[in-house]
Order: sequence, then structure tokens, then C-alpha cells
Amino acid sequence: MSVAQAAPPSAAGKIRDWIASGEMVSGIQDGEPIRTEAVAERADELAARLQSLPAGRIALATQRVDHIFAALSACEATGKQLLLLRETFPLDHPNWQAWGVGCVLDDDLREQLLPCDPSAESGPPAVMLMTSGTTGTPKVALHDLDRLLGRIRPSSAPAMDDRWLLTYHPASFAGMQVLLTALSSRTPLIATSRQTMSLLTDAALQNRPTHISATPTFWRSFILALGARSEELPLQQITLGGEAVDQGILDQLRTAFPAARISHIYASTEAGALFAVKDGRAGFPAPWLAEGIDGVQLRIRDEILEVLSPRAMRSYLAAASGKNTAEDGWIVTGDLVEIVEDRVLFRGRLDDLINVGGAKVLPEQVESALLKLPFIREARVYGIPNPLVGALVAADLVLAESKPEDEARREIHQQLSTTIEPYKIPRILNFVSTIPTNATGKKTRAA
Amino acid sequence: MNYDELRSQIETTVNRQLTQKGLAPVKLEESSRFLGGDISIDSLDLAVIVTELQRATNKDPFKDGFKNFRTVGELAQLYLE
Repeated sequence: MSVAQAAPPSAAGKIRDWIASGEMVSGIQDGEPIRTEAVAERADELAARLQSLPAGRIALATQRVDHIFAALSACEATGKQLLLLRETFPLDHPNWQAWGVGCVLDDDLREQLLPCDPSAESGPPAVMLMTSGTTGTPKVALHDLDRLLGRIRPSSAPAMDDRWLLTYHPASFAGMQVLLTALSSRTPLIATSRQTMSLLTDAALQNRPTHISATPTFWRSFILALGARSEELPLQQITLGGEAVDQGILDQLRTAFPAARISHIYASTEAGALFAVKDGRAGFPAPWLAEGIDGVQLRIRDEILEVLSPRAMRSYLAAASGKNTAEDGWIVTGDLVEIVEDRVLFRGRLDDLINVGGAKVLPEQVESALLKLPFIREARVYGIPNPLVGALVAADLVLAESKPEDEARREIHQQLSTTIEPYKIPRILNFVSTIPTNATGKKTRAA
Repeated sequence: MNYDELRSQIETTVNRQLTQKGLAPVKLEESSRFLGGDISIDSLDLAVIVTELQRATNKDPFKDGFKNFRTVGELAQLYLE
């Protein structure tokens, strides 16, 4: 291909090869086609400029996937480390120093230099991403590029008309997985400059993706936003991740998209991509605890899932805490699990546990009980500190149909009394029009 | 919030809890006791009342430790101080 031949040696690399061997159009950004040739040119041009810079760490904050493709390729080719951000900071912000960043790329990929100590940043080419964290300050996780690329599995048999819809921010771990998988499969990516439900629904109906990977929270709203138009989407592969996947959403997806394969993946920024479950059932098969899966070993300690993964990230930038690692090197995921017959089921995050007068409440369990009520469209459950009982269970609720508040309160109390223990029933109910999600499409849980 | 507003806020919250459980609303007196007879609420309902009062008044009388109260009047008084 002529594009590949034109590439200067300095831009060589796996990503550059993927770009060069792709179709004419490597994606659709906000309805505009992304031309492969233009991405390759940008990558080469940027690589030539980065080559001469002393900085080892380059930062880029953008939602444009074509710029991220180009920056990834340029950094791979020049041995730089690329920090992808979801928010921008002024050039005099102390973060740059803390992160050892010597050069910031603006949204047009023009470099802005920062005073830096090049010796502070060394190491193999890497991609750095902010961890999503549903609460608290984000941390920056460093992934060796070859490890990151090593675990990308191109679609087994990409077809000519395959298209992926990007529902995640491209600078998140999940977004990066989708971006690199699409790129390595030479499959066009449909991207929007913001991940709002209306933009994504419009983009999906216009560009008809065959593959979508998203959070359960996204899928629930997406099914409702599409309504009967779900049959217009030629979906072949549905992937869920980022949050606990309950049987309810798996069953709803099966009904809305009867022809699609459905799998849920278990991954975290720290542990990397761990495994995919493809049998349409929540949780994962219990025998995996003994046998392992895809090179990953699994065990349960104190009801928490721990993993040993060859695909784990290398480190956190600055102040790496050993808190997430057991004494023997296993990663403590913080996900509470329970063995039910032949299945290991996810019960929620340890961090999100609400302590009501000494009794523990898992928000996910309460949310899942609420979502079984036909008049509730979306639910977010969290704890509110309380001087009498430690914490109270609160819920923000989006109703699917108009209903007087008193009636909704009564029905929720009545129905939940039959499905969960009394102390788990949310006592503080807020009726809202939307529930915020963070950059990675997960419900935010902070009160 | 003055004393009467606090009492009315308590009554609204109590009755919302009762309605939620499918029980009839009540009229509260200053001497109505929260737990142990006068009103059909449990300790979690009472916790809700405290949280709602904290939100409405922006005050937290329990900040420095638990304070005892038994009646509607005693609780309202805590948020006046």
C-alpha cells in the first residue's frame, strides 16, 4: 500500500502498521469520515517532531480518536511515553511536574514545551491513563505499550462492513481497549466528541455499528432510547464491562438484539483485561477458580476476588500504594463475590459498601432489586452518613412512567420488602430526571 | 427555622415514612415519643428524620457526639440551639 511505503523509518511500529494496512476510512468522528491516509500522515509528521524533543513523557487531552491514533503511533515510533488525559490543566499546573511530563500536545497536536528534567522520565514506550475511580482523586496508571498491545486480540474474523461504536472516553482504559481492538482489526470506529446518550444513539442509528462495548448503565439507557428502533441496528457483538453485570440486563439485551453475541468482560485498570464470559449468564463459572482462565489465576479471600494476571499494569505514577496488592503479589480487586452453585457472582465493590448500624448493604444488590420494578428506569444507591445508625441507604431514581411520588414510595417499599432485607430498603428516595455517569460510563457513587 | 417550622418538618418526614409503609398519617404533639409507643416508626425512620432535619437546617447537633432525645419537642429543641 502506498501509504506504508511513504512512511519514514522513524515512524515504524505495530500501530503504524495497523493504521497503514487499514481501509480507506478508519473511522467516523462526529459524522465526518476519518481518512486513514490523513491519520498516517499526522502520525509521521508528529513522530518527526517528537524525535528531536528531550522530553520522554508527552501529554495529550483530546476526545478525537484520529489524534489519539496519530499520537499513539508517534510515541511508539519514537519511544516516548504518552499520557492521555480526560481534562486539561494550565501549563503552570503542578501536575505536569508531578507526572514528569515535558511536553503537552494541544487539540491540534501542536506541542507546548514545559521545563522538565528528562532524566526523571525513562523507560520503555508506555501509555498512561487516569483510573476512573467512581469516587476520589484520579490516579495515573502506567501501561507498557508492548503489554497493552500484546493483549489486544483483533476481531476473530473481521468482515468488510464491521463497525465499532465508541461509547467510552477514548482516554479511559475501556476506551483504549476498544480503540486498539478496532485499529488492529482494521475496523472503522464510530466516535462522538462527547459520550452523551443522545449523540451516541444518533450516531448508532446513522452509522449502524456491528459491535458495541459499554457499561450496563449505558446499555439500560440505550435500550430505552432506541425503543423499537433497536431492530435497525445490525449488532453482532455486544460487550458489557466496567460495572457488575446482572442477569436482568443480559436478558433484556437478548430480547432487544436476538441475533447478537453477548459477552461481559472483567477488567480493571490495575489488573488489565482479565477474562470474558460468553454464556449469557451473570458472574463466571466457579471451576475457573481452580483452573484459571486465559492465563489469569483467580481466588477468593474474605469474600473479595483476587487475581494474578500476566497482563497487569506496571505501576502508578507517583506514590504507588501497596494497598491493592496482597503480600504474595496477587491483586486485590475490591470486588465482593459469592459462590452460588456453579457460578461466582459479583456482589459489588467493597468501597461502596454501606454500613447501616453494623449491617452491610451492597448498593448493587439494592439497585438490582429496584430495577426489577417496571416503573423504575435507572437507580443509583449510596450511603449517607447518619449520627444515629452510621449510614442510611439513599437512592436516586429515574422513573420510567409518570407516577405520583407517594404512590411510587409506597410501591417501592412494598415490593422491596418482599425481595430484600428491611435495613437494605432505601429510606431516602430522590426522584431525579437523570443519573450522572463519569467519563467511563459508570454511575458515580459519591453521595 | 423556628420551633414551629421544625415541628412541622418533623411531622412531614414522619408522615412520609408512614405513607411509604402504607400506614395512615398522624398528627404529632410536642410530647409525642418517637420510639416506644406513640408513632409506628423504627430506628431507621428516626435516622431519616435526623438526616432530613440536618438538610433543612444545615445544622448537625450530633457533630460532637450523640445527644439524647425522646420526644418531638426535644428533637426540635436540639436544632434551635
